[in-house]
Amino acid sequence: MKTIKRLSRYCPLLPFLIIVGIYEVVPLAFIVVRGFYSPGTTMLSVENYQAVLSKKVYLTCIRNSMYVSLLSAFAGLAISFLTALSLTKVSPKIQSVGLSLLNITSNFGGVALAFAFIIILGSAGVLVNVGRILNIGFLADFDLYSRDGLIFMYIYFQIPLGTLLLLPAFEAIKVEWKESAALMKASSTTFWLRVGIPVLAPSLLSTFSILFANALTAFNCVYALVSNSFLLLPIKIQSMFVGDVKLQPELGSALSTIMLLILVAVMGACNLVKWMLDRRMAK
Amino acid sequence: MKRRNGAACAVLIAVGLYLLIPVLCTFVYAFCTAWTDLLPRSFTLKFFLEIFEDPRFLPSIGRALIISVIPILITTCAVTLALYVCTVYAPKLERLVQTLCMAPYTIQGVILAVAVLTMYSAQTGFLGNRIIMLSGVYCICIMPHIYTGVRNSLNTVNVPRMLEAAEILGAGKLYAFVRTILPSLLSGVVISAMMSLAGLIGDYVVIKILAGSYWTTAMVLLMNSRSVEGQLSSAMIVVIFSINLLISFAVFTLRRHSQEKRSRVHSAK
Amino acid sequence: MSYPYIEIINIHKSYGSFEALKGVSLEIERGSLVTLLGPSGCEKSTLLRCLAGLETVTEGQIVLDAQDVTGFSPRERNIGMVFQQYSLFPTMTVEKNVAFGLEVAHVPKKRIREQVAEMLEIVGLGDFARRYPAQLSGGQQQRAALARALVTNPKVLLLDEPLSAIDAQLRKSLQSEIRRIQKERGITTIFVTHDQEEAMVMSDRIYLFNVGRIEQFGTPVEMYTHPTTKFAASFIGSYNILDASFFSDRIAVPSGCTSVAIRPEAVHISSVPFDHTQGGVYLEGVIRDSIPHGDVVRYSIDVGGTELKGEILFDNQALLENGQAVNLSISARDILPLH
Repeated sequence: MKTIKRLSRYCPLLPFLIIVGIYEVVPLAFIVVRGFYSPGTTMLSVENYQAVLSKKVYLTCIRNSMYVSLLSAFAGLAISFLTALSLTKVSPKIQSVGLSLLNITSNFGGVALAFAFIIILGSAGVLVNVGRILNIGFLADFDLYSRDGLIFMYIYFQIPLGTLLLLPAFEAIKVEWKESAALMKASSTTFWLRVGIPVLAPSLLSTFSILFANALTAFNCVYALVSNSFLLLPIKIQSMFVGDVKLQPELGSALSTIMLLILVAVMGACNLVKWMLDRRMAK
Repeated sequence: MKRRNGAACAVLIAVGLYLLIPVLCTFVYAFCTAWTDLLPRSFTLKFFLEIFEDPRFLPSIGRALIISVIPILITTCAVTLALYVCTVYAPKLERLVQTLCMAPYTIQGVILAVAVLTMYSAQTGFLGNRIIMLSGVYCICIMPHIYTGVRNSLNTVNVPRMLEAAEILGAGKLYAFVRTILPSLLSGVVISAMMSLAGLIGDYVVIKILAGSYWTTAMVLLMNSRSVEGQLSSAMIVVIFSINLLISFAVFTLRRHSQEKRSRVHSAK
Repeated sequence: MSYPYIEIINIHKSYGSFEALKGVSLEIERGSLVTLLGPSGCEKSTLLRCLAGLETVTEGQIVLDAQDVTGFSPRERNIGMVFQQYSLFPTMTVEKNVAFGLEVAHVPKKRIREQVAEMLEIVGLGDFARRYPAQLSGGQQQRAALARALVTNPKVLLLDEPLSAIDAQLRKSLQSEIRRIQKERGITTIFVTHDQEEAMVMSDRIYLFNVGRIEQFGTPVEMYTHPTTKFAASFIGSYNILDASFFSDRIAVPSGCTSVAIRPEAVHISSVPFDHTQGGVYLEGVIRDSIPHGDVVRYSIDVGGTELKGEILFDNQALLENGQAVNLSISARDILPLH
């Protein structure tokens, strides 16, 4: 009787566990397992992984995704850092305007973002036309549909996310440190390089891992821009499960698992470094 | 001091422009007949009239709202109940609940959608229903936001003490939770619910993979009408983004309102 | 050196409409330790920060070693400072913290190592060089901060309530250590505190602050034995402060003085009547309370409705009891007029 009573305490957990079980845990476990099935059968084999890790098309996907995600995450982090730093230095009024702007534009992602960029930087885009008329080479020759054009678009949605994540961390920078450094004749740059950034390092690392994950899994804006024609992991995976071409769910599952592994590896590495840094600063 | 401020302002202006120009251009473009020179040629409202006259547009927005609201309600209840158990009975379980809730922050979109698709699409009946699958995935996608909202709200309330006080007055644990804790959670939960709403309205990938032509939301309509005139798409974006803005504004007002309420209570003491 | 090393001339500091410093002037001799003493909120830290260049003065001049530094930024003033808390950089070891100023000045690495090691020995942290700030106690952190401030050989050392966050017991040993190091190196030092005992122990001179102004200044002995205002008397020591009218019929009180101050140890208490031979005031009262204070016992005595505090060295045989009638004797020169 007592056991039943004690177990009944956990009843309210059930809805949560059911939903998470059905739509998170089981499907993810399944997709990892399915990668080991030979296509069309239920026999276990590693041929999917072999194909994914050797065929040029998949390797290009992985390479492109890593390149775009890492670069946009680094650039996004750097710009977010400078933006957050600048926000801490201006008056509270400008600060709240800036925050509102960041909140608003953080919602302007996905499909809408792609369309906006097509409008301004597409082949007949407004800014491209302006570039042609005013003879600004950079704008006139801008190719949105290339890998670098893509990164330029990715950075757009990295900035609000990164800045909003980093801003609270700046409260940890004590004014006494800045004043001590100034009295010891250090310039502002020296302070940030030797004291500020090391103190912020854990936050910078977690923000980087979130930005990386954000970029790696981005689908909406890329698809709206180039649909299936650009080789990126999310695009390729999606095309293997849905669409007009021959479906390859087992191969797609293997590719998905690889993508998960990349995510886990990068985020795990960031967390590891963060843990090591935290340990040093704590008792 | 002033020199540093100048650099800060310069950075903010540059970033501000980078963020605003795409939005502003889209908005302006929706009102243009054509924009091939430096400045738009002339302005018109005809594209807005066109989309509102299109019989598919308003229903698509309606569908987007419906398919978003239901997962929000379900997830909010589920997460709140789960956190109730964790804070009252089993603090050690919180770690597990947290991991399960925060994982979708990164494993969202494509992977989750194809995983669910490949798992359940072959099923007949309840689990194989496209709309049910869609709702289920949406529930998982918004979990990080809902969890953060409920957790942060719970942190402002000393749950064990309040429950003890209620129990001494004769209430049972669940009743005490509902009467004393839930009201404090309300504003935080509403805020994260609204943020989730904005996120779900803008989703495309999950619907494309799971429901495609079965449930045409605003985003799906937008993607489908890509090949038509750019201004039509811009007009649709303006409308949808305005809805997002309204939601953000409501969130902002709610936040300020609850902060004012709290500071008034403090000053009354 | 015939000129004062630091001259602070008529400093005014306002924040908007609020005037924090209202015309403060000081002169500080080279190699001395001067304390700015006062209750919280009296803006003594503000003066220190103006001296360091962390705040700009609204009016006035600051002259350091015959140079007008009023417009200089903190980096140009050659001043070392220790804050009340958050002194050390958390991501650097003690060694690296102390070396920071030397590295910024591009001192050769070998010399840095030597100077840092020497400095750490002086402050007693030789074994803690590789520790991180979070692994040190509050007292150790402040010692490291002191080392860091001194290693660059600044012209002046500023200490902004450095011991306020330290345990009382540790504070005493740190006070004498700071004083010792300061004397050995002969560095001109300004110390800010709200603890009058601390000021008494450490300073060559004390400047007492009251709401943005200097109320009184002098050596510790002068401040203790001759407070000139009611505020000074109530802040330093545990003076009895009485209305001048209490004594007006017995001794002459200078005109313009509304109150007088008497040190507790100047109130002589006896259970037997005194000889009225010496000039002075003789009173009778009743013991209301007695509180042991280390090696003295402080008695609270009711003299016709007015409370007087008196102190006697602790003697187990001669303890007085509550309710006991006693005789008091105060010599005239111990009754200090206040303005």
